[in-house]
Amino acid sequence: MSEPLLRIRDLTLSFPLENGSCRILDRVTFDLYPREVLGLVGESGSGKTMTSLAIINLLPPAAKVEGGQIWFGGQDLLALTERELRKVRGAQIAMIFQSPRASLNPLMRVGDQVARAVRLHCGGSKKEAYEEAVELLHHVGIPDARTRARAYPHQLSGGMAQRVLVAMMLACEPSLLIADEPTTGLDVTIQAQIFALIKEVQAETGATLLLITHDLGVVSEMCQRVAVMYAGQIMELAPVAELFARPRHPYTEFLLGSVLRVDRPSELDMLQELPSFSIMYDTPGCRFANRCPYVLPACWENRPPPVEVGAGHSLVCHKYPERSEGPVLREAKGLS
Amino acid sequence: MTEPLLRVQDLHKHYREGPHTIHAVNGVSFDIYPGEAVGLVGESGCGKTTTARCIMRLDEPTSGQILFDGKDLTALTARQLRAQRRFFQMVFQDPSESLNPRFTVRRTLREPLVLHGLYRDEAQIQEAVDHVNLEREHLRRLQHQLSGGQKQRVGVARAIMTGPKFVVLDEPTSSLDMSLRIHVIALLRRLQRELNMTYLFISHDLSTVRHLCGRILVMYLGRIVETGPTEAVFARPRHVYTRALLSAIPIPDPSVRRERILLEGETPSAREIKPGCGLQDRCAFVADECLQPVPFYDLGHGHQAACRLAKEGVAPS
Repeated sequence: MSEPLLRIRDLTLSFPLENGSCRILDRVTFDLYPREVLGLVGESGSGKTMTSLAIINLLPPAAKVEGGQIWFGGQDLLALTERELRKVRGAQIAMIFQSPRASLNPLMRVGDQVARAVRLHCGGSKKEAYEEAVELLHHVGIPDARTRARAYPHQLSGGMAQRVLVAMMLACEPSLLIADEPTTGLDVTIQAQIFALIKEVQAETGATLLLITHDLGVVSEMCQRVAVMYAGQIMELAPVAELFARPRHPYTEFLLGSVLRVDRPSELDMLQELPSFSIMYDTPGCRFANRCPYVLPACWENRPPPVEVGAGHSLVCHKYPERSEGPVLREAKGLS
Repeated sequence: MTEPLLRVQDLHKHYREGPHTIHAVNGVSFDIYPGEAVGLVGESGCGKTTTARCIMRLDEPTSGQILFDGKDLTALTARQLRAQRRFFQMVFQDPSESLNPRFTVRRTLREPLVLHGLYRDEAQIQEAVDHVNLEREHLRRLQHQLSGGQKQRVGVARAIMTGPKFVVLDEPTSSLDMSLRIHVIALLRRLQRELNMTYLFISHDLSTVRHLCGRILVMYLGRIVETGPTEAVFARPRHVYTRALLSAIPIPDPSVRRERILLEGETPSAREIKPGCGLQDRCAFVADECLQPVPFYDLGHGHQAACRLAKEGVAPS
């Protein structure tokens, strides 16, 4: 069993409000291993983007890290200064976002932007960096790379622009790639191309990929393991086949049950519609309690520690007290 | 034999962009019958939104006819068109852009009634709100005080205020989470039943279309490439583009292994329209006949595809 590449422990993040603050990440904990693809899945507002931004501290200024550690290469990234972190960003951990055009400088030719990334994170002369940039653009499937390198972002289609960002991401062969909804807004056939590209480069470089998405189809096709998030809390984590076959957390069951499949005419009436209430950010317990069909009194009070319910399959839920090994379940008030 | 509620005949729409011409819609024809929910699908740049806008006469077609309830919409005066508008309405893609940020929900819903001289009392507005599963107290709110799903419902409510026969919905679920999509689809299905409406549903989200539409039109580069009953097209897609589109959608089921048809390159620009099939430069199955205009081949039960692979010994229709 190899050592994890990245360990996130009890990551807790809050934003200030008019009166008090809102804890948008609540003790998020998971590991990333070398050469794997881990999916972080959840609906909008689940905290998946914030989790990834916290890793390399691209958080909005108002965000406050209230606790936790992020271990990478023997260091706690949360304890590093901006200066120290800059050495990690780009060179060892690289990230791409959705809306590629929002990440590119509209006033700079794309070749120059990639070259700049190369120089910034890997060093080298201007000329060397530019040559490397053209090579990278070619590598990510941009036809006529040398000519296209002179284009401005607005002259590229969404798919091409995203390929440019993948090129930038690869510049220094980082060991961890983070992709946050990299194909949202792109056409379906282009999405397929971009995912094929990302998977290819991940396999080639042996990097770890943390893929953030709300699309369970993407998880199924791209990821080996998946963590399910809801309202800033990790609910369940398992190998992909295991999660789809034996979902344990009520939220995961709901999520899987609400997916419309294109390859099947599923019965709309059988799809689950849960009452939608607002998210309970203040509860000491599980944030899904107000929508959970299986809620127990203990769920409002606290959350149990993660429990192994299968090989590599862990669960944070009072509904399943059975476990093979792991910490003893804390005595919960009111649990019959 | 029922008359179609909407008949689009040989619709063309071109835009000038400096020295170039953008051929957005190139000869689109289809009928929609009362009570149907028809899906118009395709990726960005295929011309589906432009087609919808021409039908609504938000844009003027370059050529072609649009017959609504027997009347040629392209031949109506502005006043006549306005009178017809109460019968065909539209729900737009981004409710943040299509709802007036200074109007309360109540005002938004009252306005169509007032414009068409249909306003009687508050009960009409309350009824609309109930229909779309909003609370009466939402009537007091402004747009920014509503969630994305709620705004979308206001857009739908506004469209049904005048009792239209026909509603065009442009990507109404695209900006919503998966769990919200189901709510909207269930709502649209229910409304269709209760209010006896006919839909043209424009979307690139094929899984939503599958659950809402009985018939589907697939567009690529300004033309319809395949059409037919939804189940038939999804089960046996014939045009290479339809097959590529369907195979590109990831399936949330690790036990399903699918053969994926990856199209090379990207959609060509609409500046230059070649005769023949729009997919000719990207298709792995291209042959000489594809470089000439391709007729629709009939596959039975209203399923047709403009692709030589649909031939199978059946004469072109």
